[in-house]
Amino acid sequence: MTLWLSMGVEIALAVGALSLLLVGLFLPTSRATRIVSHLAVALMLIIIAALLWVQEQLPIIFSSNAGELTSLMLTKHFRFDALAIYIKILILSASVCVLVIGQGFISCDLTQKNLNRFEYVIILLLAVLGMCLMVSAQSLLALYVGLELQSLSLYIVATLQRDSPRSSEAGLKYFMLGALSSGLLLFGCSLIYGSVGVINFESILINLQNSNYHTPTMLLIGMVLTLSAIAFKVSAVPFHMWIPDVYEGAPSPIVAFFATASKIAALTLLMRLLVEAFLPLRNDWQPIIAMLAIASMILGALATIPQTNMKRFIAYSSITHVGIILIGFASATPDSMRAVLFYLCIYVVMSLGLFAVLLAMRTSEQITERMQDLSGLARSDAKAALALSVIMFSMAGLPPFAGFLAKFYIFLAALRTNLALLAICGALASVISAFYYIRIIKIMYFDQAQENFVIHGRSNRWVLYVSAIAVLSLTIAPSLLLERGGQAVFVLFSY
Amino acid sequence: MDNWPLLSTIIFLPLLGATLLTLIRGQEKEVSLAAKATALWVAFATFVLTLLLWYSFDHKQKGFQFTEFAPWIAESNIGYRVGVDGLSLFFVVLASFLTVLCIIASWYSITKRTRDFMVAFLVLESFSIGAFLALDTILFYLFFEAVLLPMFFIIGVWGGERRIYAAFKFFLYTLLGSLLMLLSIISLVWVGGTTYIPALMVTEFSFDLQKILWLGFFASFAVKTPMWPFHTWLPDAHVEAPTAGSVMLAGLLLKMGGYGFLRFCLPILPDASQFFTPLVFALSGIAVVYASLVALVQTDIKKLIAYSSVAHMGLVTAGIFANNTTAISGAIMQMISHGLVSAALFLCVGVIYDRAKTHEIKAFQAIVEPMPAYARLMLIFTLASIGLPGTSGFIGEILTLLGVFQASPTTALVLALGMILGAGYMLHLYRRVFFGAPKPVPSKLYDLHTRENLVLISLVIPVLWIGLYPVPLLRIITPHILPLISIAGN
Repeated sequence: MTLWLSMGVEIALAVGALSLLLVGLFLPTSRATRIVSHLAVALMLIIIAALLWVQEQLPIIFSSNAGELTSLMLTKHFRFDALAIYIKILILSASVCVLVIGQGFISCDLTQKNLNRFEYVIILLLAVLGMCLMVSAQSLLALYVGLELQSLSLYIVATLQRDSPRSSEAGLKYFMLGALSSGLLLFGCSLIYGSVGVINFESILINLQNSNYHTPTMLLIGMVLTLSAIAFKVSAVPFHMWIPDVYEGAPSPIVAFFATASKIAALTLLMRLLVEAFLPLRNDWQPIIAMLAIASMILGALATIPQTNMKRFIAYSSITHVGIILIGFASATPDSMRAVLFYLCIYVVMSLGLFAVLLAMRTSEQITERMQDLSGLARSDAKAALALSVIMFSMAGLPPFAGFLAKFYIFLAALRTNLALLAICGALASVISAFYYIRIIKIMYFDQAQENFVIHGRSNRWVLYVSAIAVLSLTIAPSLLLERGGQAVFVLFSY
Repeated sequence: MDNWPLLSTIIFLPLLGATLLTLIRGQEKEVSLAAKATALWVAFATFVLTLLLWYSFDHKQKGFQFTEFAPWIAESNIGYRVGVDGLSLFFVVLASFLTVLCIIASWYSITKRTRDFMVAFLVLESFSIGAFLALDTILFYLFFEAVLLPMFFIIGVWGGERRIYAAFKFFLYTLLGSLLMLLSIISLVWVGGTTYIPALMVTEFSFDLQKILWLGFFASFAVKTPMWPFHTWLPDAHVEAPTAGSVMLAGLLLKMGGYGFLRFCLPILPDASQFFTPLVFALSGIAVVYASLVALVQTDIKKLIAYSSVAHMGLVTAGIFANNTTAISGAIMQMISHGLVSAALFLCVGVIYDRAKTHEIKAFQAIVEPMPAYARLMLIFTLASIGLPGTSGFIGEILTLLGVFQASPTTALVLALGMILGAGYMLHLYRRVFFGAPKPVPSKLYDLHTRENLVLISLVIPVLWIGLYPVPLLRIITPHILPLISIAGN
C-alpha cells in the first residue's frame, strides 16, 4: 500500500504514457495529436488533483505513522514527501499548461510540414516521469536515472521540426552538451561513492557528519563535478552556453517545457543534493553557488539587453532568474529554501504567461518570434497587452506584483545569512533586467502599431490572463503558498 | 460610522474607479467622455473624503489616527497597516486635490487614449496616497515603488518628443535607488524583528548598522526628492511629461522623498541622521545654488521650473535635517507650498503649451497683452515661488531658514543666497515671457477660458490662505514633529 501511495504519480504517468501510445495508434493521423494531448492533459489533471488532496491530508498521514517518519521512503532511493508533492504539482501544472498553449503552434507549424506526430505528447509525458523521479531521488543512482530519462526525452523533442536545420542543430547541441554533463555527473558520483562508500543521500550526510577528520579531496572533486553537471541543466553561468541556441532552435512549445518544468526539476534536484547529502560541507559549496549566482545574474542581465528575438530574450533572462534563485541556495537555510520554492512557483506562473504569448504570436497567419512585432499591441489588443505588462513588471520584480515578493524573500534570506554582496548584486541585476522588461512594455505601448499582428488562440489568451491575475493575487494572498513551501522545506532540514 | 475604514476607502476608491473605467464600452468618443466624467467624479469623491479626514482629524491626539490593520503575510508578520498623523495628512489632501485639478486640466489637452490616461491617473493617486498612509515598511515600499508604473506610462505614452528616453531614465534611476532602499528595509525588518513603523521607531539599532541602512534609504529618497547630484532625471521627465504628469511629478512624487526622510531616516535611524547631517546640508546648499544658477540660463520654461523644484527641494532637505521643530515644520510647509505652487506653474505652462504647442521661452513675448488674466494669475504663482510674504512660499522658507540658522548659520546663509537667485530666475522668466515688445500677431494666444480659470483660481486660494493664515496647518503638523526630534536628541 505504501508503495502504491508513494510511487502513485510515477506509476500513473508510466502506464498512462504507454497506453496513450497504444491509443494513438488506432486514431486517424489528422486528429491523433489533439486527442492524445487532451487525454494526457486529463491524466495529469487527475494526478494534480490527487496530489493536492494528499497535500491537504499530509499532516494527518504523517502523524498517524511513527513520530520520526516524516515521509514515505521506498528502498532508500526514492522519497515521497511534502517537497516532492509541492514540486510535482508545479511540474505537472506547468506541463499541462505547455500542452494546452502549445497546441496551436503544433497544429499551425508542424501540420503544414506534415511533421505532426502524436508521439511528442508521449515523449513529453516520459520526460515528466523522469522529472518526477528526479525530484524524489534519494540516492545518486536514482538521481542519474531520473535525470537521464528526462534528458533523453528532451533531446528527441528538441528536434521535433525535423526539416529545420535550426531545430536539428538545437537538438544536437543540446545532446552533445547534455551528454558531456551526464559524463561529469557520473564521474562525480563515482568519486563520491569512492570516498564515502555509499550512494544514499542520507547515508552520505551521516557519513559526513560523523567524520571528524578532514574531508577527502576526492569527495570535494566529486561534489564539484556533480554540481557542475547540475549547473549545466539549470543553465547557470558559466554552463549556460547551450541555452540561447537551443531555445532559439527548438520548437517553441518544447522551449516552454525546458524553461518551466525542466528547470524546476533540476533546481529541486540541486536542493536535495545540497541539503540532504552535502549540508555538512556547506562551507565548501557555498562559495561555488555564490559565484554561480553572481555570474548568472550579471551576465544574464547584460546579455539580455541586445536580444531582439523573443526566444533568445527568454533564454538569457531566465539565466538571471536562475542566478537570483541560486542566491537562495547559497543562503542554505530553511527560510531561504522556502523563498526558493516560492520564487520557483511564481517564476513558472510568469513564464507560462509569457510563453502563452510567444506561442500565439502571428503576423499574417505566420508564426513570428520577433519582439518588435509586438509593437502597438496596446492599441490592437488592449487586454493582452495589459496582461503581458503585468507579467513583465512582475518579472522585473516590481511591486505590487508577485515577482516583487519572490525577490523580497530571496533577499531577506540572503541578508539574514550575511550574504549582503549577493543581495546587492541581485538588486543591481534587477535594475538592469527592469530595463529590458519595460522595453517590451515600451514596444507594446509607446511604439507605432504593427499591421496584421495577432495573438492567436483562445486557450493561450486564457493562460495569459490567468497568469496575470495569479501574479496579482499572489501578492495579496501569498500565505497559502508560503505555508506549503514551509511544509516542504521542513522535511528537507529534518535531519 | 466610527468603524468605517476611512483610510482604506481613500486609498482604494481611485483604484476601484480605475477598474470601472476599464469596463466602459462603446464608441471611442463616448468612451472618452464617460471616462473623463467618471474619473472626475471618483477623484472629486476622494478629495471630499480627504477633506472629511482632515475635518475629523484630532490635532490634540498624539500618534497615528484612523489606524487599520488586516493580516497580509502572517508568516513574516507583515500586515496591511495604515494610519495618518500630522506628517502625512496634508500630503494625502494634496494628492487628492491635485488629481482633481489634473483631470480637469487634461479635459481637452489629452486627445489620444483618454480612457487609459484617466486610468493611469487614478492608479497613480491611489498608490501615492497609499505610500503616505502606510504604516508597514513593506506596504510602504510596495506603494512607493508602484507609483513608478503609472508615471512611466504617463510620460511614455502622452509625453513629448523624447518621451521614451525620459520615461526610461525616470524609471531606472528611481528603481536603482528604490532597490537599495529595499535592501535597507529588509535589514531593518530583520534586525528590528518587525515591519510596523511605530515599533521600529522605538527599536535601537547599532550605530554602524544605522549608517549603512541610512545610506540605503538615502539612495532612494535622494533620487526621489531629488537632491543634487541625483537630480538629472527630473528636468528630462518634466520636459517630456504631459502637463498633468508634470503637475503630479512636482506636486506629489517629489514630496515622497521628503516624506520618506521624515518617516524613516529621522525617527528610525536618529544617530545616523545626525551623523550625516553635514552631508545633507552640503548637498542641499549646493543644490539650491547650483540649481538656481542652472535655472537662470534655461531656454525652456518647463526645464526652468524643474530646476527651481530642485532648488526648493534643497531647502526642504536642509530643513528636515536641521533637527528642530521650526525647521522641520518649515520643511513640511515648504513641501506643501511647493506642491501647490509648482503644480500651478506647470499648469500655467500647460495653458500656453495647449495654445502654442511649445514651451520654449523664445517663442513667447509680451503675452500680457492677449492674456491679461493669465498674466495676473501667473504673477501670483511666480511671487509665491519666490517666497513673497503673504504667499505660502514665504511661510515655508522663513520657517526653514530660521530653523536651519539655529543648526548651521553657514548653511542658512547659502540657502538665503539661493532664494535671492530664485527671485532672479523667476522674475527674469516672467519678464521675458510676459513683457517686452509685442510680437507680430500671436493670434493663437487667447485668454483663459472658464475651465482653466477654475483650475488656477482654486490653486490661488490655498496659496494665499496658507500665506496669510497658516495656523490650521501648523497646529496639526507641529505636535507630530516633536517625537522626531526628541528621539533624535537622545
